[in-house]
Amino acid sequence: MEILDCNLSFGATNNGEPYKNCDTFRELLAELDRAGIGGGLVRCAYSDTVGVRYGNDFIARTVLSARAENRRFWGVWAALPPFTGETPSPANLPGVMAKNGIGAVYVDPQTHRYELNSLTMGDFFAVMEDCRIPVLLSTAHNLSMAQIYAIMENFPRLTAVVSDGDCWPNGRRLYPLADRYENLRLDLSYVMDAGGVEDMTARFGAKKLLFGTAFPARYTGSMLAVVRAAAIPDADREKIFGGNLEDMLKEARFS
Amino acid sequence: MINRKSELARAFWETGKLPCKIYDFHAHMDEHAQIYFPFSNVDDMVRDMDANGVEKLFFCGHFALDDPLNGEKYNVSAVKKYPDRLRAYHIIHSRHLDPERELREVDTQPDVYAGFKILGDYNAFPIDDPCHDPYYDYLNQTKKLLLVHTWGGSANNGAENVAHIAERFPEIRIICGHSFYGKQKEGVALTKQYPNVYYELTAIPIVRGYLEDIVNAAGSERILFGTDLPWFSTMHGVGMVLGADVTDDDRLNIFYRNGERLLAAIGQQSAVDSRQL
Repeated sequence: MEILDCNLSFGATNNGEPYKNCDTFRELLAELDRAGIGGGLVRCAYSDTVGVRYGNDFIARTVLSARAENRRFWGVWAALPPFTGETPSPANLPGVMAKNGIGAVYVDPQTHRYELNSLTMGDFFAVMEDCRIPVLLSTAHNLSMAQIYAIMENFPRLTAVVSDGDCWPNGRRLYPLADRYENLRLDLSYVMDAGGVEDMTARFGAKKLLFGTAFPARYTGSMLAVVRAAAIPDADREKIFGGNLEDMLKEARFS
Repeated sequence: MINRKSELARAFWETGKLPCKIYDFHAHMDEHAQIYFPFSNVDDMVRDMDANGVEKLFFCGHFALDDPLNGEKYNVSAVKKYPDRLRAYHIIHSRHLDPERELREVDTQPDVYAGFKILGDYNAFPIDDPCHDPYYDYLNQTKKLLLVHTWGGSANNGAENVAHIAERFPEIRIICGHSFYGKQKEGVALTKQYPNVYYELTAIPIVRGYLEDIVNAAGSERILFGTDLPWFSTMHGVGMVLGADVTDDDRLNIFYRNGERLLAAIGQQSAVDSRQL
């Protein structure tokens, strides 16, 4: 069983956050090797702290290089409204992503300072929905739960990977989304709740759950232990640990 | 795998079970207005303890925590149902103090109560205010436990508040719940200065690197395992300890050795004549 993590990042920061950072991709590889995680979706913090194009280029080069060494990584790009021309147009985005080893995108309108609405990002979400390309929607990326709900209401077939970075148990916020939207997945990175994985598996099926660690902000061991020890069938455990992420990426259409 | 460098992690990964027992020094029980819990009643809590190898759980239920008038009885009934597995912290409600009654409740029920718990921020009241002295005097005499909800930068339950108590009542075993989350390094300084201050790990799994900093600065002998159950999974904390860059010896200290030593040291003796209360 290969373990794949849907929530990884790296990149030097100069503000002391997170508490113990992971500056380089090499450091990330060392941690994943120690923890027994084979790869996954990886972001570069530079897309938030330096520049979107800078960070997106950085992660593309990194992932393509890692793949040349048979590492199983898919990059994650920050998306922007298309009007400034800083990122590929929505129509061209899937093809450019494929060439650059990018498997998913995320939106962070607060960090990147734009208004999130149908004018600014409607075309983007429509293409992502149509192509079944995963979009990470997380309060950890400064989206409000209200924004996440609005996106899903407008694009109900979106392949969304949703998480709530609030450290309190968050079933009341997440369960309605998981219940309503067929293509939505839950990133388990922040699901620390006692019995949470078992409860979500029973309610929504393992298919909707993706293993994630939120490394480097959090310890990889925490969610590894939670899923390893969860009282669920081993077949479900294997799906959560990696099979579901692979299946989700296989469903995406990049051309 | 979690950690290729740890035999303990390897053993856990093979079976999904930790090959040692756990003492959990920070838990709750029953429902909470702001949170949905997949489970929270006493029977499910003990079932979860069994599944995860938790031998003893020290808790203060939500009803006691949030209903200062009627909640404490639920702590008692839970412990009486599982006397070999559970011990309660009697809550100190800073705005509803009744030391005569509450000290008697704790002192006359040593098989129920391990000590007291206080939460300054939740009561919007500083934990080191002298109004709490009767409680701290009692704990200082009996060496029972004081679990403090600590939070970094708090004026009610921050490092300074704990230091005042530790200084004035050197025999109280003060367990710093959440380890001054957000201002963790202030807590490290505190453990160096006061031998009666212990860390507790709830909230630490979400700050990678902090456990290693505590171990390096204060040693693993001052750290107690805790989860906030049913808020957070026992395994979430276990995985953090297994994956952290510390030794297996440190891990065993955290999971149960420190807890055993602490409980042996405090015994169950009473230093208070209940007739005087």
